Amino acid sequence: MKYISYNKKVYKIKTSQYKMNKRLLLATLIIVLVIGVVILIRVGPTESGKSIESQTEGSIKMVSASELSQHNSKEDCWVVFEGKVYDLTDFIPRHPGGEDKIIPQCGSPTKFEQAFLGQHGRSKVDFFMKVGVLIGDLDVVGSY
Amino acid sequence: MKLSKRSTQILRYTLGAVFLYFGLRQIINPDMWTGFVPNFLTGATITANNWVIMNGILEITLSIFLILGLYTRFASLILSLHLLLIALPMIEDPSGVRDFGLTVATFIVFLNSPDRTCLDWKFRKK
Repeated sequence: MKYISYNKKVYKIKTSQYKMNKRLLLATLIIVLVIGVVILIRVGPTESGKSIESQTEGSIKMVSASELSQHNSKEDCWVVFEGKVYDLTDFIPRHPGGEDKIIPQCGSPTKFEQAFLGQHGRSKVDFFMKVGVLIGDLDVVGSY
Repeated sequence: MKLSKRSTQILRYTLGAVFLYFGLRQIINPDMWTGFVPNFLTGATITANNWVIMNGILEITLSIFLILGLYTRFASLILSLHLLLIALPMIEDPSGVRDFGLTVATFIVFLNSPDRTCLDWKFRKK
């Protein structure tokens, strides 16, 4: 048993209840600490929404196959998905499956879509649309 | 102490570390995870980015609980249900299958009673 005083009165509480409150206090402390650290991390300029903003800025242009083929490296990677050309350069280092899975498809009009759908199906299409920066439509007619 | 007696503890620490790692990644780079946020959750008030950050806070907090053994059963139940919601929609994907395996492993921690190294054991009712 523990005794605590509050408002000039003494209350008797069970030890188990006292320990339970200590546990709750510790849990609360951890939650507050985590939220505090996260706020500290997130304060300052962030890159939030960069990809989406980039997609909506500027006009959509037509990209020919020859222009597309020039963006075929890790440092400058354009890929084609459902007829649209996306810049994946910023995402390559962050790809959970590794850089090597994307780089061979850079600059090709067909390889990326085949590899992407083969690996992920359509489960990651929304995610791809958000990380890829839309460059424009693939100019199929002008390419041949 | 035999290794078999440590199995629950090892599972708890390992899963805690996994959730902590992914929670931290969500906080550090939320853009990478916004594709996983369902469309019906995103709106003008709470953006996909903020959902990811809130999810990261939840995962970090509960993973710390799991590692320390604080509210172990509660933390493991919430984490396993949470991961199940993530794994089920993409169960046909290899990463969905992996997440489902982690879900079951986390649920095993819930099914087990807190071991002696848990803070829950120290705070247990006498």
